[in-house]
Amino acid sequence: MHDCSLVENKMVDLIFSELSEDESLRLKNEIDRCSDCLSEYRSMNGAMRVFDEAWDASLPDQRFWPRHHEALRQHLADNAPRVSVDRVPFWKQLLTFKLPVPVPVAALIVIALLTLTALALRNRTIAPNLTIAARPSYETMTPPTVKEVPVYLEKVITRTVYVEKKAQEKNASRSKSSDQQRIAQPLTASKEKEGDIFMRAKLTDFQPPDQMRIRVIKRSKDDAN
Amino acid sequence: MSLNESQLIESAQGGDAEAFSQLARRFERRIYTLALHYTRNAADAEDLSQEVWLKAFRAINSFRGNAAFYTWLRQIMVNTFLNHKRAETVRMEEVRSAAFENDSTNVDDGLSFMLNETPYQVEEDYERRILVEKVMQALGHLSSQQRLIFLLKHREGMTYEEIAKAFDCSTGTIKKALFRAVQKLREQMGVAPAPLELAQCGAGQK
Repeated sequence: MHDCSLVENKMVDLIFSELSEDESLRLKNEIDRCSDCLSEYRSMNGAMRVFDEAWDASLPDQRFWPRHHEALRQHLADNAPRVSVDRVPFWKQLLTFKLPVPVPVAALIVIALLTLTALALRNRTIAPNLTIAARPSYETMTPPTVKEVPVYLEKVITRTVYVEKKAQEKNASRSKSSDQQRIAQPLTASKEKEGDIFMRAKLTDFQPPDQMRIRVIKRSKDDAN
Repeated sequence: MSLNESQLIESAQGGDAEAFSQLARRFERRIYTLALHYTRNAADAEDLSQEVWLKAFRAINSFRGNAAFYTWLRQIMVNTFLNHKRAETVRMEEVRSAAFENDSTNVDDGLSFMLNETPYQVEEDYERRILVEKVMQALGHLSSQQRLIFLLKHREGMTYEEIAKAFDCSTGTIKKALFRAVQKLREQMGVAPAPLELAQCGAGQK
């Protein structure tokens, strides 16, 4: 069944030689059978013919081309790009670098890389767990307790005490005073200036305090429990 | 590609402008004529064709020789033409003045085909001028894309696929644009379908 609109659409293909030989022949036969299509086809062909005539007529004179070429040559010379600018940069050469490797070798490299990656990832996932386990958990820790324990410490204190001679002699002449007085004298004598007037005192009766109270804050794993 | 052409390309890729201009000599007429019909103006055509060549020179290192040099150059030409904004401006006054005011001193004009004519040729040449002007005006009624598609198809002989690839669209779009371009040109050039003295088509009228 002939359809003029379909034929018209295909006419462009026919005019611009986009159809095969068989298709062209078939379409031409169909066009020939329809006066409207034939008129359309001739009109389109006529337009193309007129266009081609105008094309030829519009071509410049032969004398135009040497000047055109000279102008183009000059334009290119004036605007010529520098060679270095157009050279491929080193990083691009690196990116486009190709090394032919046999398929088995490439496969082995890929497998090795995958294995190494897997191992590295595995180590990375295990290591943090260990460190976490070793670290004490502050949240679960019980607060420290304070216990007072008696500590007995014996310490021998030796001290050289100098006392004034005169005072000693006076003391000797006097009757034996109380123990408390004897102790007080060497302590004050040590502060005096050295010289003949001083003599070494004895601390045989010196009684340092024999007990001390020491607070020890101690904590162990058992205390926490 | 001849050996000479490949040598010129190689030299041009090394930055030799003279070698590239020698290469351009082979295709400059083709490029200029297309530019002339695309812009419909001799001065614009000169600028546009120079722009094409300069772009090609700057990109010559990207030419790998996988396709013919002209195929590569044509893609640059299509892109340059489509980006040429001034192509949209219809300046038929300039075309008219270029066509009619041409004399022996105005040899810069691309339409200087009327030089040194004999008295016998005057009438014939005048008709040619009218024809050229009419066609240029008709081309001005097409969109820049339609015009370029039409020129690439009709004058360059590119296939639908090649044009579609160059324009980055489907072949259907190209075919439609071409059909419309032909219809418009026919209308503008005054080539209407003439009634024929044949039996009318009985089947399937439009």
